[in-house]
Amino acid sequence: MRKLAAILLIFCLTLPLVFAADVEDLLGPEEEKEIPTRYIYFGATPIKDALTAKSQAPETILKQATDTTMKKEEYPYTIEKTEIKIIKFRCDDKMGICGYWVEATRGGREVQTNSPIWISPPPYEVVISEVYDSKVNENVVTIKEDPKLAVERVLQGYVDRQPLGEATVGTKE
Amino acid sequence: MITRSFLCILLFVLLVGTVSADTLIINPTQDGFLKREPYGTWVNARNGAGSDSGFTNSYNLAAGLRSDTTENLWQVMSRGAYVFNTTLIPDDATITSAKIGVTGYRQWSQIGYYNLVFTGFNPSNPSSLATSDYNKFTDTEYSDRVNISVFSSMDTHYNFTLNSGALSYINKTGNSPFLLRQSWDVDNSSPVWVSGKLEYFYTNYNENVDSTLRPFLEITYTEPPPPDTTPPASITNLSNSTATCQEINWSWTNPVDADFNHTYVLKDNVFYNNLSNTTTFSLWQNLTGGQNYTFSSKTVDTTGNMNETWVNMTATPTACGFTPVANFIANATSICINETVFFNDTSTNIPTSWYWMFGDNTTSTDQNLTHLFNTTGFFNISLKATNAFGNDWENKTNYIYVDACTPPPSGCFFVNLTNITVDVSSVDWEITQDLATWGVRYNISENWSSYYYCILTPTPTPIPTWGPVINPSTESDIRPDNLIGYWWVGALIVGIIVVFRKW
Repeated sequence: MRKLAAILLIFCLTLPLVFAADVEDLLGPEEEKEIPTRYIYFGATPIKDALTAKSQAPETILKQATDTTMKKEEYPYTIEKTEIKIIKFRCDDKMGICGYWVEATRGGREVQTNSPIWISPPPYEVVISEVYDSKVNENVVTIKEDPKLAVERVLQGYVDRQPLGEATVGTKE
Repeated sequence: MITRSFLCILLFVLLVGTVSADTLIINPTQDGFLKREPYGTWVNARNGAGSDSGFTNSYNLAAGLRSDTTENLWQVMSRGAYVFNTTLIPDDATITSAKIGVTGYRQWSQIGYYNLVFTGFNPSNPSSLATSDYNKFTDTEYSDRVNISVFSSMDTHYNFTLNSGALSYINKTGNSPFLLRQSWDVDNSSPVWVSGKLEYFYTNYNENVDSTLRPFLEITYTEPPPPDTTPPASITNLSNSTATCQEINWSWTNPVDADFNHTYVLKDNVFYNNLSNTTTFSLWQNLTGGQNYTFSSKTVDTTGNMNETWVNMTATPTACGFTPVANFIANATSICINETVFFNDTSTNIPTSWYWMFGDNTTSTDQNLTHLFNTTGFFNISLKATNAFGNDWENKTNYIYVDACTPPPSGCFFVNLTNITVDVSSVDWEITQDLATWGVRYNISENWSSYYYCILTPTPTPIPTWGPVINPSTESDIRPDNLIGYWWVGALIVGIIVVFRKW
């Protein structure tokens, strides 16, 4: 009797585990369900507004916005908390993009960059926070228009992908 | 040859080794996922037409597979489509490397580990993907295969290195569409069937507001160097040789500029030739000896840049010819003292200088000249004719005879057998007769080496006149020693004289 009770106890205790293990199978391959995302803009959005207004071609708007922002910097300057130095930049009206001449090190050793680095289209938005709101089951993403920070992040990603080695500079200024 | 080859290789290495590259990071202009729900076998799931294919950005891009829950059939094959505007790559650029980076994560993870790979894609309109593009792809793999297990963080890009085929596939004048697929899908190898399992791989799509998380195509390319406007250096060490007559052999050292193409050469300011970059000499032939010729050159590179600095040199070739053969003639060879003789140079092979010796211790360097002989006797005349190729002597012994030319007596007479009048005041008279004419002669030298000869001119009224000085060599027949055979004539004359005196 005691044996039977022990067996029943074990059975009862392990039953949820079995269910837990098979729940996915039991449920079957569900349709992929994405958590809804809501975007919130932080600060003014002149670039987004201009793109929406379609007053000019998108590449023109983005190029001008980047050009205006980046011209405010004094070159060369080092991207904050990185070993990446932006030597100079130039925007190409015809292509509608901007290129950056960089020098970078990783642990003090030179990174094999190939400047200029042209970015198309010119980035201008950065995510400054992404929060999941469990009450309403949605992601809340806060965005800020910041062409300079967006450029710096893309360049940082580029440098991170590059191997160590001697940097080269393109022939056309 | 080895040195030249080494230099060429060194220049190539220096040039290529310093080739620089640009980088272009492009986010897609269009992207979406291609989804099929053929229901059926693996092969059908892979190849069959789908009923729920579409391109939309309402989802993250996917490259995945699932097996049907209840019917035990393969269901839903998804592929991620990316279109990059690659017209930004300069037309004259050479793409050296490229990679596609995606951020993503693996969802469900029930079918097992597998690889992802990019292949070609041919949508009808890359600027606006449509559901009808679902089957317009190729199985040509354009990237390495990346195991799905590496996608563990949604915030990190994972890179698919594009292969050489992809570098050619990238369209520099249009869009370059790529498709992200499972390796199973590409090589048509069915995954292990597990009923009711899901396997999806999601990536961030281009409309993700965080630009740093968007997929990208990163291209490294080199552009031709900017137009070369620097001409090559000039030639150096220009020199010439005129060792051979009527020829000039110019030689020089070419510049070391890698793009040096040819030397532009003028001959006396008239275009002569464009000489290749390996030519270091030029032989000018059939020139006129003694005339100046000027070599003028400029250097030109492969793009046509000309060094405007002239490098000039002038040289004079020698004439071709032979050693002179000296000779001369005189207008008289027998003259009286203090008379002149005109000597005419008749040397051949164009002598350029002359040296005369007249046998009287006088010389001259004129070509033709008149010489005064102021002493008597025989004189040896010599001429040395010289030109660039040598000299020659002509010696003529006893060529000129100079006589004292003592004046003859005041009267001239002739012998007339019937009426003879002879001035016998001089002991130097002698009655002579040659073969044609009777006469007398008057000795003006020793041994009758020269004399005046009085001849009877055969006119109606014979008039005795003094003839010219007779040279014994030409008048030997009337020399005294030749008159022995006419002894009786002499005796007759002497007899007549005696008779006349007595009478």
